[in-house]
Amino acid sequence: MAKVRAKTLTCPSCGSAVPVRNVFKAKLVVCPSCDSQLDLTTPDFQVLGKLPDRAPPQDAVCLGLKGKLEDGRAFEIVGRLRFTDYDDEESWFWDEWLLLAENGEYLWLQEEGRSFELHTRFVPDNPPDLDTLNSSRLLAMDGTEYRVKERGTPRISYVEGELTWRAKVGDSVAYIDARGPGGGFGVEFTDDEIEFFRRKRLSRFEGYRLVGLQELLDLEDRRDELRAEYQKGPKAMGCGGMIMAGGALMAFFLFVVLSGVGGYAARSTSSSTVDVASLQAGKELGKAKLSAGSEYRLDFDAVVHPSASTADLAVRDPRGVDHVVLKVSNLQKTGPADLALGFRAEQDGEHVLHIKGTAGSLALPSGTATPGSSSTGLTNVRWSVKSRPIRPDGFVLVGPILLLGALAFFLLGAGRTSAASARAAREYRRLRAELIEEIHRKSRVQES
Amino acid sequence: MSHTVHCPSCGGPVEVRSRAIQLAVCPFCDQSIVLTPEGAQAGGKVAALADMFTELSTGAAGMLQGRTFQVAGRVRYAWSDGYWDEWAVWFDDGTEGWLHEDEGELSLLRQVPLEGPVSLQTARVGKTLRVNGTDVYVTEMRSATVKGAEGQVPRGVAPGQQLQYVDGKVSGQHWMLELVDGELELFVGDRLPDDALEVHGA
Repeated sequence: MAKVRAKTLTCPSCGSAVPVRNVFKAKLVVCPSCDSQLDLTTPDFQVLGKLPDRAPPQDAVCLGLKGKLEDGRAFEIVGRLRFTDYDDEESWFWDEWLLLAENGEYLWLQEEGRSFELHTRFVPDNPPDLDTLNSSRLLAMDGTEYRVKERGTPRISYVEGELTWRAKVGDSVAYIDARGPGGGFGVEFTDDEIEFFRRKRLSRFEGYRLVGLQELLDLEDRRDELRAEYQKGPKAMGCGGMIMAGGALMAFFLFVVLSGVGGYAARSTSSSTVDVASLQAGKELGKAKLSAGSEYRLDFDAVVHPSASTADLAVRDPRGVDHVVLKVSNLQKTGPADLALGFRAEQDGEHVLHIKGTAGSLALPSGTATPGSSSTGLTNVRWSVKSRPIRPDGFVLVGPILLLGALAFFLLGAGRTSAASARAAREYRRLRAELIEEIHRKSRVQES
Repeated sequence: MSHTVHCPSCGGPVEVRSRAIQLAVCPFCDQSIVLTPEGAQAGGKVAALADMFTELSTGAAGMLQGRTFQVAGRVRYAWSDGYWDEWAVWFDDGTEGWLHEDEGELSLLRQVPLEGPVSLQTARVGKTLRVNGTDVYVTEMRSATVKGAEGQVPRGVAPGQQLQYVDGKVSGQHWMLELVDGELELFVGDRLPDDALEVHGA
C-alpha cells in the first residue's frame, strides 16, 4: 500500500493552491498564502482559524527542504511546530520540524539555537509508569538506565505546513527529556495521549547535512579563507601577530636584562668611612663573587677630605692582581655614583674591592687633621659591583621607550588583527544571510 | 451466510452478508439499519462519509499477510482533533477482523471476549490497566463520537453515538477498549508494516 500521496488542494478562504505532501495522514494544513488553518478531516476543508503573525524560521531550516536519513530513506520537511516555554524570569522557544520519509513514516527534527535533535517515534517494550516518569531522576526502560535531564510543559506558539493532527496554537504538551546510551529518549504526553521518541543529538553541521544544506556547509568551510582575504594572505595575519608579540616580549626582556634589575654582584650596605691612615696603607672595601668572562660595572661615590686627596680604587682578583683602577679625587658629594667603570672579570671567584691613597696626595698639612680622624680621608663611601655593567648612558629612558614602542606595536598589530577579523565576520554574516534568504526563496517557489 | 432484510425506511431489499452483521446502511436511502435478533430497526440516516485520503474503500478487495480479504464496510469515529476509521474485513477463510486506520497507520484487530470487569474510570495515560489478566500500558484515552458508517459492519453502533476508548500497548501489541452504551468491548491485534496491505479496489 502506498503510504504517501501528495495532492494540491484549493484554500477555501483565499483560493490559493495548498500543497499537501501526504494526504493519507495529514489532518491539518496551513495555507501558505493566507495562513488559514484547514481541517483536512472535513470534506470541504473547513477553516479552523488564521494564524495571527508569521514566525519565520530561526535559521536556514525551512519547509520543503529535502534530505536523506542514515538508512538512505529520502524525506522532506512538511510541517513545523514552534513551542514556547517560560519560567519566572524568561521565555524561550524552539522549532520542531516534521519530516515525512518516503515510506510514510514521520520523524521530528528539533532545532533550538543552532543545535539539532532527530526524534523517531517508538513504542517501548516496557514503558515506565507515568508517576515514575514525573518524579524520578533515573529511569529504567527496556533494560537500559536513563537520566532525566529536563521536564517541561511548553505551549504551541506557531504552526506551519501540514501536521498529522489538528494542532492548535495555545495547546500545551508535557515532555520529559531523558539522556542515556544512544542519546536517550523523550516522552510527550497530555491527559489523553502519551508518545515516546528516540532522541539523537546532531551537531549544527550534522543537522545542515541531514537536511541537504550543503551550500551552508561550504560557506562554513570558507570562513578561514574570508579571514585570510582580509589579512592579505592566509598566513600573514598569524605570523605578523606572532612577530609583533615576540618583538614586544623580546624588547621587554632586553629592558629587564640591560637595566640590570636584580643584577648586583655586590654592593655596600651603608655609608662607611676610610680614614687617611687606612687610605695610605690601602684598605679593602668589600668583596664580590664574579664569573670569568662576565662583564660588570663598578660604581663608586664618596666625600673626599681634603679635596686635594686622590686614591686608586681597584678590583683585585683571587690571584691578587688588580684589574680595574679608578681614580678617586675631589668627590664632594654623596648620592648616585659619580665614578663608574665597566670591566670584564678574568677569574672566577671572590674579588676584592680595594682602595689605596696615591702616594703624596694624602700628605696632610701638619696640624690640619689627626691621622685616623673620620673628618679626613673618605666619608659616606658607597660602592657597588653590578653584573650588567655595560648599560649605555640614557638607557633608563631608552628602555621604557623601547617597551612602550613594542607594546604600541603589539596593540596596533592586535587591533589590526581584530579589525580584520571583524570585517571577515561581517562579510561572513552577510553571505550567510544572503544564502539563507535564497534557500527560503527557493523553498517558497517550490511550495507554490 | 447472507440473508436479505428490508429497509425499515424505504423497504428496499438489503442483502446482509453474514449473521454477524449488526449495522447495515441501506444502499437506496442511506438509512442505517440496526440488526438485532428481533429484526431490523431504523437507526437514522447517515450522511455519506467524506472519502478523504485512504486506499481502502467499502467493497474493495485485497491481500493481507497472504490472505485475500474484502472490505464489507466501515465506521468512522471522531474525536476533538481528528478521526479514525475501522474497516470491517472478511477474509477468504471466513474469519473477520477490523482494519483500524489512524493517521494512515493500520492495525489488524480482532474482537476478544472480556474475561472480567475492567474499570475504565481507573485508566490513566502512562499507567497500566489490568485487562484479561494482562497489564496494558495506556497510550491514549478519549471520548469520541460515531461520525458515520457505510456498508455493513459487525457492530451495533449508530451515528451520533458517544463512546469512550482506551488505546494501549502490550509488548508492541495494540489493545483497544471501547465503551459504547455501557457495553465494553476489547479488540487486540498488531500494527501492520507499511507494505503489508495490497488493495485491488472495489
